[in-house]
Amino acid sequence: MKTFSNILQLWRFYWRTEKKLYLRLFFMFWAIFLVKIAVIDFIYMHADSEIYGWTHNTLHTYICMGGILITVSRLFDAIHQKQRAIDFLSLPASNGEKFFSRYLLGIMGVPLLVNLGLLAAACVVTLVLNTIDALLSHQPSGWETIFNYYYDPYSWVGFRDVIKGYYPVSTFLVVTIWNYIVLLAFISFFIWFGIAFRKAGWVYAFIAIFASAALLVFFLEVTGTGNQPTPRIAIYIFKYSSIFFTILFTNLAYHSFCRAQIVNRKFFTL
Amino acid sequence: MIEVQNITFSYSSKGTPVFDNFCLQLEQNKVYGLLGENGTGKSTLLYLMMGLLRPNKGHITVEKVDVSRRKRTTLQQMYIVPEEFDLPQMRFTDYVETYRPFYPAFSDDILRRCTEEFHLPLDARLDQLSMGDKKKALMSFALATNVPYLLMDEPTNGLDVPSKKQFRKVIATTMTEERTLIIATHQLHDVEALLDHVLILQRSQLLLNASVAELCEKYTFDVRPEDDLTDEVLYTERTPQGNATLSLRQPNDEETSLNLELLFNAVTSINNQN
Repeated sequence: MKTFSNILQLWRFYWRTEKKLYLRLFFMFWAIFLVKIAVIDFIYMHADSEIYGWTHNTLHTYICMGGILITVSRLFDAIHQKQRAIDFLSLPASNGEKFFSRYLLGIMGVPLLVNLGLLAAACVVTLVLNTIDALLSHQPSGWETIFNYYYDPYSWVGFRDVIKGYYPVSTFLVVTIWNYIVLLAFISFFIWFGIAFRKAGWVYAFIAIFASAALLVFFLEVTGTGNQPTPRIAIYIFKYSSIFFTILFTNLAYHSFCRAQIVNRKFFTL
Repeated sequence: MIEVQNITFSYSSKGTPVFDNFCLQLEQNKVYGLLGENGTGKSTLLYLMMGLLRPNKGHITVEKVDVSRRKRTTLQQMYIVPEEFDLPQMRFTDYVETYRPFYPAFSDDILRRCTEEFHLPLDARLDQLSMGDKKKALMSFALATNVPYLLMDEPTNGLDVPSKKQFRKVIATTMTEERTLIIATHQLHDVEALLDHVLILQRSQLLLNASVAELCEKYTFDVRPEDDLTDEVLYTERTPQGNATLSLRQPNDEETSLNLELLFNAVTSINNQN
């Protein structure tokens, strides 16, 4: 209970001292979503539904994931600049409280903010475009087309599919939880790199992920399994290994944070 | 008590160690002057004491707790005023409201006394203050935290002459029995009157670790004419007033007040000769 109240105290501290940074990040992603929805979605709105769906979902996932991962990797920027690091690290709170107060922001606050920003942007653009459309053609259209896509940002079983009765709620929940666990593994990885590297940890994290993906593809090609359908066991391994990787990366991130010092090294904070 | 136990520290694995097997004990209820030329490791030692740097070997403990663990209870007992710092863009009152919940012994009375002495308005915007005023604001807050161990790195840098006087007055009036103040500086005259204990660092070695009382009991600091430079004179410097001398105090000699600059020059020059 005491730890929780200490974390609340730290959140109040972050809001007072870093409010501008959070608002800037929020409005930056809001602006990106607005442009994306206004330009790309509006162009594809009346295009072939299959192409539209693929383009939309791919872009949507990249922007969402990219936005979340880059933001979380910067949550610990305070330890990379000497004066800010002195201020933050000497603040009377334990390493655990300081780490988990920011980690919780990373795994809950940022995804929530990005999705809220996304929904808000979708609402605003849809309303504006429909109003313009209605004024010009005297018949509103497109409201559902754009808005409905934002119910299911990461899920291959979407909320609208549940509403329409295609899937039971339990399936939706299980899929959503697994998607979140996979996202957690990535978030923990980016937080770890954000702590360990002094500058642009997210760049190194993306490089590491792309390199790992390239190695996996190379392995599949060499073994000749690249064109075969993904076996069920591989999906299970992927899902359950996400739990392992979340724990591993969270641990590495925490220990990196505990070892952080105020040295102006070129690459590493440790 | 702060105990520095056989620490070795270097900023990079290949670099020359800033400290090598360095030991020090700092007792409570004293004002320590950590003196040394630029680059002798004064600031590094303060950061090590705060747990902001981690020794490669050895330990630093505050009340028997390893500071590198950065525990809440340990950090609640310490505050550092760095030489260079950034203050958030807010009013001083908001700054106090933001940071004070972390310091359970925070004293509004001390804050009021400090800001009055420094002529610092509490509703001032921190980002619009001059460097000297920012330093006064941070020092006022630091003193008001009422922590037992207060570390100050070059506190008088950036202060004008009247402000230095205010600084000495504020420190003298807010020092309590339960507090230890460690001032790292090379501005010797600014802190001379405040110190209880002198620590002189050179090339990361502790050249002197003695109380002011002990120094004044053993040595005499005075100005003598050329023909009075007797055998007991350990060190002398020519000044417009005559020869400033550091000499062994004889039984009938009156106690003199500490001349910190003379002491510092004597200790470092004797060490260089050896």
